[in-house]
Amino acid sequence: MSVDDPGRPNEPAVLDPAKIRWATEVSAQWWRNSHKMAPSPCVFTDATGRFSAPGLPNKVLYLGANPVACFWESGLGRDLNSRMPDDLNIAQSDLESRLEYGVQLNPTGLKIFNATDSAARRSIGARTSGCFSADHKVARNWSKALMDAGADGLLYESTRQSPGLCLALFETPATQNALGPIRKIGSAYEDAPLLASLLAENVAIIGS
Amino acid sequence: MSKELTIDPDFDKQAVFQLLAKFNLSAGDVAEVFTSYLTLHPPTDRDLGSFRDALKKRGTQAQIEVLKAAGPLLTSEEIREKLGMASRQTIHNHKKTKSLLSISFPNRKGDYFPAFQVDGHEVRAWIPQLLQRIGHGWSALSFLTAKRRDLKGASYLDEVLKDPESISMMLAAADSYVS
Repeated sequence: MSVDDPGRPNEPAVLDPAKIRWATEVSAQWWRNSHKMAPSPCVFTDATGRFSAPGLPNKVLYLGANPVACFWESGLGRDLNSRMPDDLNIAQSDLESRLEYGVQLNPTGLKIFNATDSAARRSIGARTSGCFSADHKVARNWSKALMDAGADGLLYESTRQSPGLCLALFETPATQNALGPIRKIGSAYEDAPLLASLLAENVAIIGS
Repeated sequence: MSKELTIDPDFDKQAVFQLLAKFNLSAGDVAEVFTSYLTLHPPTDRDLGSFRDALKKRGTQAQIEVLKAAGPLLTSEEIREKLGMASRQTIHNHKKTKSLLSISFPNRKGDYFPAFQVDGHEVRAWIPQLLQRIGHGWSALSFLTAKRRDLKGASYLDEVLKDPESISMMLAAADSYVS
């Protein structure tokens, strides 16, 4: 007889927007890590990621509460995460080509789901926080279910140990209006706390 | 164990290093100590040089591993001959237009070209496609040769050389890399 594991990430059913417990407190200050060749630092993407993929109803803009969390959730950080732990190297040019931006967001009126809040997860039938982290295919299904239910984004913890909340902002008319000024800070290679985090995570710089 | 710090003129650093060595802490233990220390003493811009040096020092070995995984490197002259091109200038132009993957070393003259990109007398079709996404040689090489969890320790390079059908998977990952 098969036993249902309550800790295992489950798949979403169709969500009732009226029953979803939306986040009441969402920060207005965010960070963005973007490739210098990107047409704009705040481009919503459908590149395959934790909550985005071609064919999903909305494109996604990934933001972080601080530059370190932001880096680990960027394409470069996600690539490092996909590697074996003894093979974490990064070219200096990659760090130089990643630019950090401060992003202002007016969260008033946005329907943001907080995946780190267990009561919120219960409101949509997600049994575990792993629904939003363990298997990206499952996470994308939850992302789609929330998009279909009219969400403007979702808050989640970075899978890396780096402290900080992340925000996957869905591309909707409301989120486009909510995005405020963007301020360029510098490159990832000029960010001492980020380099400290790379050192702690056993990353090496090559090709310098 | 490296003893470089033992000749560091800074006595405090020397003492900490000796202490860590005396307790024979594992790299994981030291990483834990380091992470906790960072919360007490957040890094500042003054630490940038030290962090870069430490990351690059670690990179020396990592770079050797990348090159090992990439296989033989060809000089400009060798790849020119293999591809039957008229001059080394043509090679240079191909490099400039991101049609050839090349890397360079600070202590060596000229560019070097991983041999895997040549199939017979032609450059594999996916090389320019990759370089349009990840244009820098070392970045592309690191991306290609890294051992991946979801490929059970294989690399994208292993996969695309084994099965051309995995090229689209590799290119999708390259799109994600620069996102």
